Amino acid sequence: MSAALQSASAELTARLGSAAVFNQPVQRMLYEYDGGVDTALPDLVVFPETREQLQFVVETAARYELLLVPRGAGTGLSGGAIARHGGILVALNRMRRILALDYANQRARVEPGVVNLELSNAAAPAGYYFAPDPSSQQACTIGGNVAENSGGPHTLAYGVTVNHVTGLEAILPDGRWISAGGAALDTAGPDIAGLLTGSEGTLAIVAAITVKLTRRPEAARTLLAIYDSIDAAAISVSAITSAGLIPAALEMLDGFTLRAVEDYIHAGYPRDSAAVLLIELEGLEEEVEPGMHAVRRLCLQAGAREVQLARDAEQRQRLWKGRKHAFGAAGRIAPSLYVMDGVIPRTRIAELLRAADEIARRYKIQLGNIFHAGDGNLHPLVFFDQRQPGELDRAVAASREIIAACAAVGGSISGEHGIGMEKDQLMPLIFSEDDLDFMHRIRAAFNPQGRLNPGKLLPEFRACRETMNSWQLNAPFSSSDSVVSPNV
Amino acid sequence: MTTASASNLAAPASPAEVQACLQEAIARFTPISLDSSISDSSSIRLDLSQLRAWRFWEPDDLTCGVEAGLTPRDVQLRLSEQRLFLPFDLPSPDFSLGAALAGNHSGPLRQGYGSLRDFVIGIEFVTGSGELVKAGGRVVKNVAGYDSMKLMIGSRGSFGIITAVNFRLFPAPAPTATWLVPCPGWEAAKRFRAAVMASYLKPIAFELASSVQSAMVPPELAPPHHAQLWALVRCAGEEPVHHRYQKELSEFARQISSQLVAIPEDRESRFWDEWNAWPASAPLSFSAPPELALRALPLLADHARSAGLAFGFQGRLGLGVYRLALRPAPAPEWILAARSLLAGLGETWLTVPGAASPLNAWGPLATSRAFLRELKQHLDPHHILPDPFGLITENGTA
Repeated sequence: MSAALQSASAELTARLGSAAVFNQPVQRMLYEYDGGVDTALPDLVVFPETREQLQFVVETAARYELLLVPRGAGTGLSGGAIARHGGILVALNRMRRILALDYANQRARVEPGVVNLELSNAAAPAGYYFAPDPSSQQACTIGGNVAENSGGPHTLAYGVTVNHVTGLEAILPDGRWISAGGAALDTAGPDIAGLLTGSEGTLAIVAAITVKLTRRPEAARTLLAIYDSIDAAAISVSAITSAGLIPAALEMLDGFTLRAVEDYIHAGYPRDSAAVLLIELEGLEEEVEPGMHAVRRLCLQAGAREVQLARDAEQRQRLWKGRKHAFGAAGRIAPSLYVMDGVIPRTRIAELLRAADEIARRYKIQLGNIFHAGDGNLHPLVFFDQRQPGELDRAVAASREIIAACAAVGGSISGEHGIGMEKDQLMPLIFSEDDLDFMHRIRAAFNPQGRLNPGKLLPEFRACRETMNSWQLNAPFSSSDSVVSPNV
Repeated sequence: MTTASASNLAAPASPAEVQACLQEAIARFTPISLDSSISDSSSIRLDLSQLRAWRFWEPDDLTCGVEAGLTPRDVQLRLSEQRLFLPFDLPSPDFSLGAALAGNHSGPLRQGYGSLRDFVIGIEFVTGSGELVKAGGRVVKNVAGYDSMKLMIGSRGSFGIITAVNFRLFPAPAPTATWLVPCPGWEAAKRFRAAVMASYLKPIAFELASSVQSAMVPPELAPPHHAQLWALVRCAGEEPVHHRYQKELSEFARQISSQLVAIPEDRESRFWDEWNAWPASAPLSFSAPPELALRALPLLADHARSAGLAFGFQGRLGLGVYRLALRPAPAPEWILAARSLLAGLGETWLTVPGAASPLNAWGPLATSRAFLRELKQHLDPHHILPDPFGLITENGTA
């Protein structure tokens, strides 16, 4: 450990207490992972519990020119919360107070460590919830949702995290606080809260979040459409979308994945099917009933062999439990699992699934598919054994080819998992050099020394170059004591 | 490209020509203006109305991409061929898309569909360094890279000149129905709002306006008693949905000693056109958490009366976003005093989104001015882009 780290560790321990600073290797090893496949060991892990403690952590890092990596629950899938180049990992999961539940204005104000589902549970007695519902919602934090602009099955109708964030309070890596937006919808000036959402902790560390609360719907109908071919399921998705129907959720599981889920959860998915669509309609009773019939008709016309309606809340929950625990079920099949994330136009689903299948065969890997079909947001699952030499490399190479195929049809390389350290080198697939240069300029304004979550979101070689540029750009506005050497 | 160098007017016909204009501005150290009311020789005024190409249209995928000089009316016309639409009801349908994005304008349908920031999926713009860049993409879900779209929407050209935009589209709504509810006072409006928001109803528009707008209501429909305020609810759906709204809204109206007034089907569309067009010019904008707004608006009304100003307003009762009209136009001192008056209530935003004003046109910024200056410096290093927030110049130009 460097002298700077030792000094920082001592100061942080004195201020936050020894229970809030992990500096032993065995402690730090717990934080070298997230939900993805990349690992990196942080030099320190600190657990601020208050805004003041967070400020002290950030100021200490600035004083010693140390890197900072914010982290929520560590459920991310793109390495966004991993200390790729070491430094101080700032675990925000102890800043977990719900600061306000304001039902009259349909808002909540929370600290970043509040678990997604805890907010919905807290608001449930009043009939409200927080709409973004990632599969990890029982564990992931709202700060993490903001960092990654998380989605979930129900974002088809309700939008992703940014559609529900109205205000943020955040600290810049130099220790200054910024406030962006608020509880009001139209605050004066640029939408900095929108820009910060999805910035993967590379621009600022968020300390308080104001979000919309959504009224629970009166009625919901959950349908399970069962298919003998994946193509027919994909055609159904297009048919529903182009008919102008917007279900609350429209999810697809292929045969391989649904059998894995069935073995684990016993959700009620037919084991002999090639694919199922899990479709949910929400709204007034007067809306969901005809909507359900229209969806059912479209699925049957597209080739569904059967469309089942969940007969009660218990069956509905079981069907959803299968979807939400699918990654866990997949984990029982192989020692290692790589969950990909790409987006395509909804009309190209069948074509992309065929392409992915061909790529998987070529690389001799097992592929499963479970995804947000209504958004065109694919989540191919690559099953492999990391202990076997070469398997990880093959899995990653196949995955990158599939993501490149998404980009080639006009899609995106990430719909909700973020870029992190997983896909930073893939950004040129969808962005030009000038596009990326503009993003570097944004980062240089917030994070001029590149100390905040380095090696994430943008290709790293550019970051180094831009950091140098940013010093020149930033010079007229920097106080002399804020100019330090780069750490990356 | 159409240019008239004497007046420094440039009318580029393509994004590449916009880029050339900005590169020329950099070379000449001459700022760009997007404001048609400014005609001085010290800036290059950009007229983007010739950017009218359709980049792509995928009806089955509910997405399209268009250049920024088209108007929502242009886009709507073509989308309607496929029973699609853009929920984009601006005060003037002749605003260009670029202007609507730069100003973050919205209308009553924001209640049901969200604002521009919610359904713009990609954007192209020319930066302050003269590069033509994009953010977002063509698909409805995308978290790759920084969301520069959010930086462009509402920043009035501060960080770039928008040349094209990609939209997520919506199916044309099912048949709509609209009801007026006269509210006998502010407390009644507050109770009516609370009842609707606590119900399962999800109207596509939920408005409140001052009684100055009662002139829009056909006389034979007006209820017998005088109303201080008018609430308005619009729903989309088939007959059973309309009946459900009618039933519940009737009860909510009864609870505030009022009654529903249904706008006849054959008048509904025109009614909304007129509603959107009010007030005709130079409104103030006011935003607050929605319930707090109902405490702030009467204070503003009293403040106007005490200064001898006629006061009217219209806006999103469900969302807390309003447009204010005052006659005659208030002096800057009145606006500053109004802001002070509201300061004690909580979070309120009274802004002047129109022409240049002696006071900062946009009011206090939501993000610290010092930080925004740094951001502006990074993204507009040659100081050629508009500066409506006064981040480079002291007061800015709107």
